[in-house]
Amino acid sequence: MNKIIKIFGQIVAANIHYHPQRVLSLLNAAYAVSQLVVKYFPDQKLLPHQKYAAAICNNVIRQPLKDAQDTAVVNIFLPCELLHAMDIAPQFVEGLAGYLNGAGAEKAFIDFAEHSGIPKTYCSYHKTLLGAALSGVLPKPSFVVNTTLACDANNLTFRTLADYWKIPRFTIDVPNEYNDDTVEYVAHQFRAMVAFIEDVADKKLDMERLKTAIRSENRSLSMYRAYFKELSSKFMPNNLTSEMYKLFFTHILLGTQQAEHYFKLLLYDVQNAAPSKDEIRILWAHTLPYWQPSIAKVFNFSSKYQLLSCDLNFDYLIDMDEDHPYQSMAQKLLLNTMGGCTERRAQKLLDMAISLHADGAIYFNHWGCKKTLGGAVLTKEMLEEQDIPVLMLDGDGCDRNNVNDGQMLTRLQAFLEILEGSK
Amino acid sequence: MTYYICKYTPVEILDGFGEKYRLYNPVAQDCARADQLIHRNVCSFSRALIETCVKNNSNPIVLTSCCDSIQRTYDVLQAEGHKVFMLYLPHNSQHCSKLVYKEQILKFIRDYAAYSGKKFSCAKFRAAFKQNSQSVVGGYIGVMGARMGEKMLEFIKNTSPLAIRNNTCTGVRNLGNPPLTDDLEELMDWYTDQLLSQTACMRMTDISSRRALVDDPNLKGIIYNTVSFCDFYGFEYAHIKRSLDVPVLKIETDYTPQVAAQLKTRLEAFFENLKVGKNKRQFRYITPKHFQQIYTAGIDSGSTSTNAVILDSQQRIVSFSVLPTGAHVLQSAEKAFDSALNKAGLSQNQISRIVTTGYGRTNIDFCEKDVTEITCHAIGAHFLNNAVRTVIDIGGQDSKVIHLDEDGKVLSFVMNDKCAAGTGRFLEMMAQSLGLTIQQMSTYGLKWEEQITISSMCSVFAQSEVVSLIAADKKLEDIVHGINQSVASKVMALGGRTGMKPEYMITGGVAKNIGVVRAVEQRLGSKVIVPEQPEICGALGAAIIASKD
Repeated sequence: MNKIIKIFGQIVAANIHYHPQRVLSLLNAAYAVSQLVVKYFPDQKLLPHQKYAAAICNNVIRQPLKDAQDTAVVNIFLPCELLHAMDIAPQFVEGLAGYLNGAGAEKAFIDFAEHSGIPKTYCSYHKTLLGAALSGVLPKPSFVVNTTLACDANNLTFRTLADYWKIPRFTIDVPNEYNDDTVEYVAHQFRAMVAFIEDVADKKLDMERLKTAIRSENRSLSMYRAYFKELSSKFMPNNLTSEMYKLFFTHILLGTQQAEHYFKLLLYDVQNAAPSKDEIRILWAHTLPYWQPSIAKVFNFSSKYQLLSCDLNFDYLIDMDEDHPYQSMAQKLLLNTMGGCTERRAQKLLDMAISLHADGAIYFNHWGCKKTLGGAVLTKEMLEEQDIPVLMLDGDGCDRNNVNDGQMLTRLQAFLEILEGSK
Repeated sequence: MTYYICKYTPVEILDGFGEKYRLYNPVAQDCARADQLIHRNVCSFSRALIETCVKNNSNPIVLTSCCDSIQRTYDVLQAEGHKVFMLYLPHNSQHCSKLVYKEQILKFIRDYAAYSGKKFSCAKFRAAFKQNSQSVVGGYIGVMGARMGEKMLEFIKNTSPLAIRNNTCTGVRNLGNPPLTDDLEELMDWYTDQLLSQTACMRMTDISSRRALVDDPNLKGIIYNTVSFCDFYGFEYAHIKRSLDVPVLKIETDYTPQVAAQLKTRLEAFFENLKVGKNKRQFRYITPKHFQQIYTAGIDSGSTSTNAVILDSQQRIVSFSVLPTGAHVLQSAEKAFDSALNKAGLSQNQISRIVTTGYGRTNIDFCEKDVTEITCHAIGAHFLNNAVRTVIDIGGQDSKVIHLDEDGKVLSFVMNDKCAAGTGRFLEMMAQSLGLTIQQMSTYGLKWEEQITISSMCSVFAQSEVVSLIAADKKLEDIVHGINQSVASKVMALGGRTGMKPEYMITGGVAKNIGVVRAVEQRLGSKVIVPEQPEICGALGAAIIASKD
């Protein structure tokens, strides 16, 4: 870890119990500095869309920390078109936890959460967010909205947050099955959610603004699908952090001008990328341990290994219907590959592996994610039956104290050596 | 036989088919097959379920989508060719959620009819409803949290000084009486409403109905059960711990028999303290001046060492012994006792009472009584210094933090789980890796220069980290300091920041390690009392109990 970040993390840990406001000020200052760095001194190895992403994502995280008014804490799978149409800023678990990790501070917050009784075996992204909230560092938002997709942690974390902050909460319950009844069930909840937000935020939803957001989203998705089509025959350097940044645009920012601009740059970059040659093409399942130097060193800006995409970045790529927004949002959740059975997610991974000409897939067993962990063996079997080799890599996308670095790197390198050998 | 696991399962539908069914609470001897089919870090109950279903060919089974691990268990069992019915269980109990669940139940009726070839009978269904109230009069202990195996529940019922109420997630199931109709739609409307209106389990969005379980004035204590790698119940435990003032014992089960012994120790200690609560006098030490010189002994049969203490009638320590525990608990206890007798120049028939404690306490047959090490350490520590409010006992294989009140009564305690981190065994493993003796380990860390963090809490991974640090040519003193810090951190994590109050006393063999003691002091921001012979504290407590009985 960078020495300054290490010291920063130690300062956070030393102040978290008695001076949470001081910690918040420090975090705000640190992210303000990093905003200047990514804007004026970006890493020159980054492609335009990656530079843009770094600046936008920083702002998305920073805004609710600076001013929590008109902010909602959400989970990553909540369709945020409604929030954008009502000028409500979303703050989401993986994004904030990732940024706290970037500041070297996740351990302090995880420790705080665990000392408050949160189980050690709980997802470390959620533990980090809970630690930030329960320690008093994270400012109180206006309300909490979440879906039950894709994991139990969503229900537990958001309930705890709403109880702690004593703020209103709305939960969209997402069944495992897709049919007309379940679409109507979820759509009905979205309608109720609008009433809830209008009530607690004291704002009225402007349907025209919602339609504008949906049109923007559809343009974004169209460019994104075109990007994947191009990528199937291209080599475009990637890095773990940029792939994580992509989550902002494929989820909570969808429907915004920023997302649309991002996908425009992404498509432009891939159109100008070199043709695929003899690189090893890797598809990734679940989040990425971008903070882990050994793993990042293998992939970041590599000319040998093409990190194609993580599957959270193609969990739902279908256009929305602006005339039936609530049904569309319901479909978005019910057909999301992160919900339902293992086969659904594995099948999408397999389809993408085939269409992107992947040489292999890395299935990242993020600590605490029971659904991912539980589906590991079946997914591996399913992909390998179709000759897509799979490495199951046990690690942690957020908690740097929770991994065996040497063992992970050995496994990864051995897997890549095998793929190179069979190329 | 049809199996089910969740209280929201519409099992009365199976009555409608004339089928027999059973709540499945499997305990797996090992999870060898499950390890091949699913990752180890999913909930232990799910793994035990997969293991036993596959081994015993338990078919059919009816699951609900009650948690992430069970949803994946369904995927695995399906792939293994088992007949599994899965019902989507809503997280809410509002009207539209009930409609969704009703459709699931109706689909289940259709699917089960097709599977069994039997016809559903509304009359048989209605006849299935029996009131299942747990009639407990007066004070009781609530067993709460996650589902618990029958044997463990039976043990609790047989050991508890108070009545037991099973309020675990599968324990509270009470539905009403169905309407007298054969209209399936009407019946299912009623049934779905009943199922989803039960006391909520932790996976439901609205858990306010759970509050009634803990708002009962007759509730005198809670045994809170959690399951390894289950996400749900740690949250409620934290809430209960913060907001209730009844004694709460948290236990964690993993659906294997291995942890049973340790859990029994905790449960017995919890019950002992509930009894003490009724009669505080038991914790006050009387030193009768008119006593004739009689001797009592305490024997602490630990996993690493067996210690014995002999007291005279004025509760003065006459002699003590500390010997390694060998392969046979009883022989080790005899040796330690003989050694203490020899030192005191006494014979066994001069000892009026013997009390044993420690893991091996129940296997020593020449004693009058056995008491858990929690109670004994508390009594021993209070005896040595009555200002002590927190005892940190770091033994060979486990560590405990015990909170006392001014009378020496145990207010609460926590114990590490199966993992060796933060124990004497952990330090031994690290010493071995560093090529140091235990004595060297105890002082080496005091001369550190560079702050090194051993980040892994798992002793196996921590050993790899230490090996890497040696390879990186780090100074031994700095590595040992890092190890000491890691033990101190584990102790703090165990004790919790709010529960640890001065004065502190550290007992157990690791208390002789000055480096660890300093690291603990640094974390606590306070001095820690280290008794002259820290490893005999448990045996001393046992001898004191023997002297006042």
